[in-house]
This record gives sequence, structure tokens and C-alpha cells, in this order.
Amino acid sequence: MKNISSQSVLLTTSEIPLYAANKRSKPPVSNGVIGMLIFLVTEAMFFAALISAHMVIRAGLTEWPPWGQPRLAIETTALNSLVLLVSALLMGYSRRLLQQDKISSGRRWFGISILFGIFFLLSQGYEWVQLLEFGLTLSSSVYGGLFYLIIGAHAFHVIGALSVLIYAWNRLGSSKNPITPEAVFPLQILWYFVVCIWPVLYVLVYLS
Amino acid sequence: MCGMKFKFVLQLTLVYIFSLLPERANACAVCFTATEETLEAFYATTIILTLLPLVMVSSIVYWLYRKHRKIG
Repeated sequence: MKNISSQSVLLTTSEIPLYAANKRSKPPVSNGVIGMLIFLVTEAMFFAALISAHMVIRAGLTEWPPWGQPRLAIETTALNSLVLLVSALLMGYSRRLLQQDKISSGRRWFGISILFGIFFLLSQGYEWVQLLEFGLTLSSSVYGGLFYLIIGAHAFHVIGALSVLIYAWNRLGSSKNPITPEAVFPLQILWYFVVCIWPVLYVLVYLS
Repeated sequence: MCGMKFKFVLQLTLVYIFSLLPERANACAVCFTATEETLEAFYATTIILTLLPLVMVSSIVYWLYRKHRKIG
């Protein structure tokens, strides 16, 4: 009998939201978003270090790209960059739909955004294969070393971000243990970061 | 006392010997060129790496402050 009464008390208290009594007790930003922002500060410093290394090495050499090294596919990569930017826009649109509790359509646009990201990754991978065939390797020159280091670091981030986004997309629509749109937001911020850092790298590596 | 003097002289001698081998004391690992462009790149990257964390952290703090004010 004692057990039943304590259980009923537990059920009653669990239904009361803790922040209902005081509005200010609700945090303005979720812990996931704060954690992701701190992580992205460290990521930005990582890319800043790579950019600094590129700038210093590039400044010390008179001929850039070095003689005998293949030229990078500027036009194709520009198109890929556009695809990546569209992916971020679609991610923002899906975020708005998810905020309006339009889970089904939000999830659809979320998935399309992921597909654009996958297209970017595959297209860049194809470009890498071609460059390797033309003789640009990690050890062929400092040009190749910097290219694979910087663009490879970004590609690694794209793969990581896409993996967690696919996982979130899958959980978003599942009937068993679904993920909330608020829980998806930190991962969307990660994708915005990956997209926003790309134009900087493109200008630095491809156009400079 | 005599032992301390001997140690001091020995240390001075070692410092003097190492000063005769400048290639062993290459102070800056990245100073491979001495062009004006490299110097400018060093200045630019120093500014970027110094200011970037400050700008990012202060932006996040300001954004959180704005959010907090909006709710409050």
C-alpha cells in the first residue's frame, strides 16, 4: 500500500514543469547550443591556425602554384560551393518549419539539405581523385600538402556533420524515441559553421 | 665555496661554447625567408589569431545577454 502511494506522488510531480512556477528559471539557450558554440570556437581556432600556416608559407614563395603542379578546378568547385550554400539555406528553412511544429515538411527539407551536402562531398571527392591522377599528392609539394591538409580537414568536418545530421534526420521521424526539433538545432549550427567556413577556404586555397 | 666558483665558471664556459655554434641555436623555426611579404603575413596572422577568440567569445556572450534580456 505504501509503495502505491509513493508511486502516485512521483507521477504527479513529474507532470509539473519545473520552470512553470518561475519563467526566469528557464534558460534562454539550451545546453546543447551552448556546448556546440564552445566546440565551434575551438574549431574556428583550428581552421584559423591552418589559414595562418597557409598565409605564411604562401608569402614566402615567389611562384604560386609551384611550377609543374596541376591547377585546381576553380569553376567546378565554385558550383560545389553554391550547392553547399543552398544546403545551408534549406537547413534554415527546415529549421523554421520545425519551429512551427511542421515536423513532416521540416524533416523533408532537412533531408534535401543533407542530400545537397552529400552531393558537395562526392563532387569534392571526385575532384580529389582527378588531382591525385594528375600528380598532386600530399608529398608532391608544399602546395599539395597545404591543399590536402586544409581541404581535407574541411572534408573531414563535412563527413562528421553529415553523419550526425543523418542520425538526427532518422530520429526526427521515428515513431519510437523521436528527437525534438530543439535537440536538432545544435547540429544545424554545426552545419552552418561547416558551410560558412568553406568560402573562406575556397578563396584562400583556390583563388589566392 | 670553491666548488660553487667552479660550477659558475663551468656554466659560463658552456654558454660561451654554445654561442660559437649558432646553427645549433636556431631560434625561430618558421623564419625560413626574410621577405617583406612573409613579415606582413606574420603580422596579419598574429592579429587574426589574437583577435579571433576575443571576437567569438564576446559575440557569444553578447548574444546570450540579448537572449536573457528578451526572456526576462
